[in-house]
Amino acid sequence: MNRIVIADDSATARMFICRCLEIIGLGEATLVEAENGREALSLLKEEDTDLLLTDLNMPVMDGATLLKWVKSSPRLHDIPVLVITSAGNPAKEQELTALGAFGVLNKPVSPAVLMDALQSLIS
Amino acid sequence: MSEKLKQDMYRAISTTLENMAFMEVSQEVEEAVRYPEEEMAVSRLLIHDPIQGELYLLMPKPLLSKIVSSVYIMPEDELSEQMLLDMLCELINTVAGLFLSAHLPEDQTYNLGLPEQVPVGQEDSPVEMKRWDFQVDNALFSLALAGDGFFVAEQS
Repeated sequence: MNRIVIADDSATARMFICRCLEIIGLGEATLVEAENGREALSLLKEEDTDLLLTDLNMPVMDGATLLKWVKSSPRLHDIPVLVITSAGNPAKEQELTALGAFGVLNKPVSPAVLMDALQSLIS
Repeated sequence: MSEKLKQDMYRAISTTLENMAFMEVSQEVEEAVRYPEEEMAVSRLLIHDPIQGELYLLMPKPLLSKIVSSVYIMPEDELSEQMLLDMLCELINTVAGLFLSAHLPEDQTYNLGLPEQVPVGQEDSPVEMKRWDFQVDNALFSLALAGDGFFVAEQS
């Protein structure tokens, strides 16, 4: 993977996800951080991106709206989207999967859980 | 049922701090250090659906500093106030999600607000509220939950 966009309004959460990505061997990729969905959308349009990791609850544009924008864009819809959220449960997971997310992880995420979720993409 | 509420909250904060900072949370608080108000920080998160409520996390700044230092792998004296407050908000966000996931039925979605820092002393609510004390690294901290709906369900 060359470029990964991480959208979360918490700097702590972004740093934590970056650390997990480094631990699972994706530290060589360019990790680009966004504070909300709108900023993430701009970053996705700037350059080809291999993966979007997004939180759900964010100001300006939330993660579900970002997911809808990405999946409805002819240019961006192939980007795999993994939602990392504190508001996830089976019902929410089903809702987000229907919108096009390939996975939903609950916070606090760990390198092992992230690795499992990304296994198919990495291989 | 009151015990279930407490245990759900305990599991939520334990999982959060163990996973993020490798710190063990205890419910034994008798010997824990109680910090004065001026050394405390408070975050609040509104719970919008399906039950309306508020969750507060009250934590001493020296403890927050240890947590941030552990997560960022940075010496405590290099941490900024903003990093501590951001961590406080991320902690309450994560705890709220884990707590509601445990407390509500599996097929029930929920809707949370955005976490915010509030002045110490504002952890108060006109509706029913319960507060639980915990300790980590010998420092006492608290979680408080407000919202009649949580306690009505509890009594039924």
